[in-house]
Formats: sequence, C-alpha cells, structure tokens
Amino acid sequence: MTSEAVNILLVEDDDGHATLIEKNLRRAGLSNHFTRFKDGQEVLDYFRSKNACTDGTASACLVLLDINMPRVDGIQVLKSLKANPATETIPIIMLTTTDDPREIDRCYQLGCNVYVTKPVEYEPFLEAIKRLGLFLQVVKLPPKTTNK
Amino acid sequence: MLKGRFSILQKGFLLIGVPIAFQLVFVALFLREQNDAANSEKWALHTKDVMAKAESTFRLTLEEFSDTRSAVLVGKEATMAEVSRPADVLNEIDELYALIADNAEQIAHVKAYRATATLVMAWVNEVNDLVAGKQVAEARKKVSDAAVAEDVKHMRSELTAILDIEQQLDDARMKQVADVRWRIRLLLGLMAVIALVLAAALLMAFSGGIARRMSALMNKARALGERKPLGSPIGGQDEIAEVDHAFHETADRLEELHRTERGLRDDAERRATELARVNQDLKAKTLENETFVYSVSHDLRSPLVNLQGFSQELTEASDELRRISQRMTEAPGESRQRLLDVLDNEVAESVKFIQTAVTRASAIIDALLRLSRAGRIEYNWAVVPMREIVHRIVAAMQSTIRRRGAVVIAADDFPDAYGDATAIEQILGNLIGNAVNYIDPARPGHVEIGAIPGEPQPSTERPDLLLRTFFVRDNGVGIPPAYLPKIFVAFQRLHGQLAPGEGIGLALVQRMVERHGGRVWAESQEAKGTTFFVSLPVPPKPASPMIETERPKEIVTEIRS
Repeated sequence: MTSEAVNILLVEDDDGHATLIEKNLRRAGLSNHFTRFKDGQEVLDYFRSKNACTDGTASACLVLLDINMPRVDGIQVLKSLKANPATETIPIIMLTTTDDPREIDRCYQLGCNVYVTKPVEYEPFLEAIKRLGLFLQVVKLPPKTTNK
Repeated sequence: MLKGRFSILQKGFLLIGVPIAFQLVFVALFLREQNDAANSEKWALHTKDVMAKAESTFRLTLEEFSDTRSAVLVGKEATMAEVSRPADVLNEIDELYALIADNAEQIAHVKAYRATATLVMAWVNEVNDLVAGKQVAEARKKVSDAAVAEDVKHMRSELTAILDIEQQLDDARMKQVADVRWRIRLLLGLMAVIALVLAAALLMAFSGGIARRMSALMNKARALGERKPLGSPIGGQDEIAEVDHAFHETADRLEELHRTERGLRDDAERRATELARVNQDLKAKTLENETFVYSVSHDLRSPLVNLQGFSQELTEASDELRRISQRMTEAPGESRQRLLDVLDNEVAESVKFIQTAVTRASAIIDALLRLSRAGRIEYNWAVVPMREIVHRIVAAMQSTIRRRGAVVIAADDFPDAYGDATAIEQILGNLIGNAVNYIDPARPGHVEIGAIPGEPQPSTERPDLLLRTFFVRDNGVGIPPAYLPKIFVAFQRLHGQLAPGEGIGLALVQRMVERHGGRVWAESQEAKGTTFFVSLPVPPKPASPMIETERPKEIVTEIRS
C-alpha cells in the first residue's frame, strides 16, 4: 500500500477553504484522490453506506476535518469515528480556525492524530498545508489488522 | 375604689383638708366648752364673793350688836360712838343685793335679811342715841329687850338660807365645770382618734390606688423600653392616667417608627438582593459578551482565510499570466504591453490592498479573541513569585530596552502575589512593555518597578482577598488628562506611531486584574511620565502555624534557585 493509494477525505463546509486546501496540497506535490464533504453528516453517511476505508480492499483513508460545520460538527464526527472499532484506526487531522487551547486539548483527548490551526496569515497557513502534504506523503497508515 | 377619679393634687388636698376640717369642728366645739368652763368658773367665784359678802355683813352686824350690848352692860358707853358704823352694814348689804340681783329666790332672802339687819341697826342707833343722851337706864332697858336678840337670830337664819342657796348654786356650778372639763377631755381624745383614723383611711385609700397605678405605670415604662405590648390603658382622670396615655401614644409612635424602619430595611434588603442579582446578571452578560465576541471573531476568520488565500491565488495567477504573455512573442506588442500593465498595476495594487486590509482585520480579530479569552480562560490560583516574574519579563525585553536606550530598575524584594501566574505575567508584561515602548525620545528612558510598602488592604470585589499594590513608573511621553479615563478601553490608541499594537493591552490588563479582585489605575503627567498601579491579592495565610514557620525558607530557596 503506497501513500498515493490513500484517499483523502476533506470535510469542510467552506468552499473557498476546501479549494485552497486542495490546491495548495496539490502544489506541495500531493497526487492523492480527494473526496470533498460539505459537513459532518455527509462524511458519516459516507462511512455508513459504503463501508469505505473499512473493508480492507479499497484504498485506505485519511480525514481532514474542520470543526465548525453545520448539522454535525467536527468534534461529533471525531467522536463518532473514534467510538466505532471499524473506523477508530483511520487517521484524523483536525484543520480549523480555532486556536483555543482547551478545544485543542479536547480533540487530542478524543483521539485526533494531528491538530492544525488554519492561520489567517497566509504564509504560515500555506506552510502548514505544505508540511501537511509532505507529512501525508511520508505517513504510513496503520495496516488493517482487523478484518471483520 | 377611688380609681383615679381625683387628680393626685386633689387627693393631696383631700388628705390634708378633710382632717383639717374635722379639726376645725373640734376646735370650735372645744372653744365653746372652754367658754362654758370659764363661765362656770366665773360664777363659782361670784358665789364665793356673795358668800363672803353675806358673811361679812352678818359679822359686822353681829359686831355692832354685841359691841353695843356689852358696852352698855359693862358701862363703858363712852367708847361706843367710836366703833358704831351702822350705816356701813346696810351699804354692804346693798352691795350683796347687787351681786345676787339675778336670783329671785335670793332676792327674797336678801330682802328679808336686809329688813332684819335694818331692825338690828335701828336698835343699835337707838341705844347709841340713848347713851349719847345719857339715858343709861333707858339704854340698859333697851339692851335687855329680847326682841332684838330675836331679830339677830332671824337674821342668822336668813344668812344661813342665803349661804345654803349659794352653796347649792356653787355645787351645781362646780359640777358643771367638772362636766365641761370631762367633755373637753373626751372631745380631745375623740378628735385625736377620729383625725388619726380619718387620715389613715384617706392615706390608705389614696396611696393604695396610687401605688397600684404607679406600679402598673412602671411596668408599662419597662415594657416600652423593651418594645413589648403595653396592654390596656390604666384608666381614670388623674396625672397617672395622663402619663399612661402619653406612654400609649409613645408606644404607638414607636410601633409606627419601627414599622417604617422595618419597611425601609426590607426595602434596602430587597434592593441589595436586586443589586446582587443585577451584578450577577452583568457578570453573566460580560461572559456572554465575551463568548459572543469569541465566536463572532472566530467566524470572521473564516472569510479572512479565503480573502487572503485567494488574493494569494490571484498573485500566483498574475505571475502565471505574466510568464505566458512573455512566451507569446507572436502577439501584438501593444496588447501584450497592456496585459502586463494591468497585471503589474491594477491587479497587483488591488491584491496588495486586499492583503493589507486582511492583515489589519486579522489583527483586530486576534485582539478580540485574546480579549474575550482573558475573561473566559480558567485561572489556576497559586502563589506567584513576583520577583522571578518581573526579572524574567525584563530579561525577555532586553533587546527592546537596549534599542530604546532605557534603564529598567526592578526592585529586588518583591513580595509574592496570589493568582494565575500566566495572567499576572501578562499583566506585568503589558505594563512594563508599555513603559518601555512609550519612552520619550527626547530624554533617556527610566522605568522603575516595585511594590508599595504597607499592610495589604481588603478587596472591594472579593472581601476574602487582601491586596498589595505594585507599580510601574516611567518618565515617558505621559498621557493627557483628557485621555486618562479612556486608556483602559479596548482599541483606543494614543501613541499609535510609537509602537505597534491594536490598543487592547490595557483593556486586557484591566480584565485580568479585575478577575483577580484587584484594581489597576494610572497617574500621569504629560511629558513627565506615567505610573501604573496594580493591586493584586497577597497569598492567603496558612492555616497551621507549622506551615507558617516553614514558608519563608521555601521562598528563600525559590528566589535563590
């Protein structure tokens, strides 16, 4: 399984942010497949209906998760994915404007793998996204050990 | 029984007047009796006079008679004329008559007595005349006449009758005097007894009533003092009743005052509760506002990310267009030049403005976020080593201090504070940073940081905390008096050109100091300098004395390490 086989699930309600994230990750050299979800409910439905990323045959997944979203927010998605044994191993990167330390703490406690703050200053944001792209290129996702 | 129908004055008059009236009656009776007694005594003396007179006339008559007889019988007639005074006897009897003229019985007797006396005196005169005429024999014959002896005898019996009557009268009068005397004694005794009984009765009647009413009055006075109910009025029309009435009126007025006071107190309590509630509401509102500001500024970041991101995209796109146009050599030079002009001027300028605006908006939003977080973040209360913190801040600012050419003097004996170490470091960092940043370029900068000596004062916001005041003093540009009240308001900047910032530093400081129960204020003179004062809690006193003895050592190690 190569890192290119990893399907990146981008959960972001803001179209602009989604475009910017995808563009900059591509600019950083990422060639993975992107799937865009407009809110938490969409991504939860996706996992529920398709058994995506959980059947061991399809490509593995990585979730880029925004926190502030309508309907179901990122925290609920994080909780829900980490509570389910089938999805708990999927790496989750929180990507949000929130820099409240308590919020960050909470996400780590709930089991998020990385927490990236979207800075308004574009340079640091770009830097963060690029690093994330590099990180995603080298990251080795945990192999599917459970195969029910 | 005399339940205050009379006033005390009237009772007093009765107490004195009634016995006096009785005594006056007694005195009148006594005087009358006394008068009777005096009369009786006068009459008794009169009787004695009458008896003495009667006896003396008889004695005189008898003397005349026997002198004349014996002189004639012994023949010594010559001596007779000298002693004979017959007329005197009758005069005397007339005087006796005058004395008994009021007694008919006596008049009869005295008349008879005088008649016989006249006979005897006539005889004496006859004998004397005979002797004077030397008719001795004739005189002797007359002397031996038994008739005159009979007259004398008769006269004696009359005298006895007169004396008897007078004696009887005298006896009667003496008895009368004795009676009067006895009556006077009786009267005096009675008077004394009656006066005593009367006085005692009146005294008991009045004093019993007065004492009872007085004691009731005293009980009321006591009840009035203790704010207890007075009960029913004493009644009556005397002074006690008046005082009682006054007591009741006073009690009513006191009750009314008490009611008013209670009303006022209730009102004050209600208002205090209301105030506390409003205060609570305000605090909740402040927190709510901070939460609101937090979420709004948070949401504002999202479009900013896009603005910044896409302006960057535009820049990238422009660069790309420029590169393409340079490769398009076959295109007309004029159009290509126009394209490059648009890219370099209009597009680049617009993008630059957008980016500047975004940076500025982002800075404001960040400031708002910091400000709202200052009110929301949980505090970790602990003893804060102020000396360490101040020296750390000064060390971190060393490069700025050097650049500004300032001298910072931090006291070496800072007392510890109590609160959230991060917040207190931010507070002092802000104040010291301000002092360093707003140095007057016209003179060498001088900043001094210290603690004001003296006993810690209780906090008005948090009475459980004692506050010590620290200060940061500079000789910088100063703050104009008109601007001084606004310095703690967010986004107010006075010396914007001297240092970068959003103007929320002091607003943050104030919020954090307030959350510590303290106060921050400033004194400033334009072009002379500013002193910021900040009062912060002192560490609470340890409960057991053991810890107290240990504590100073701890601090010493802390400072040394």
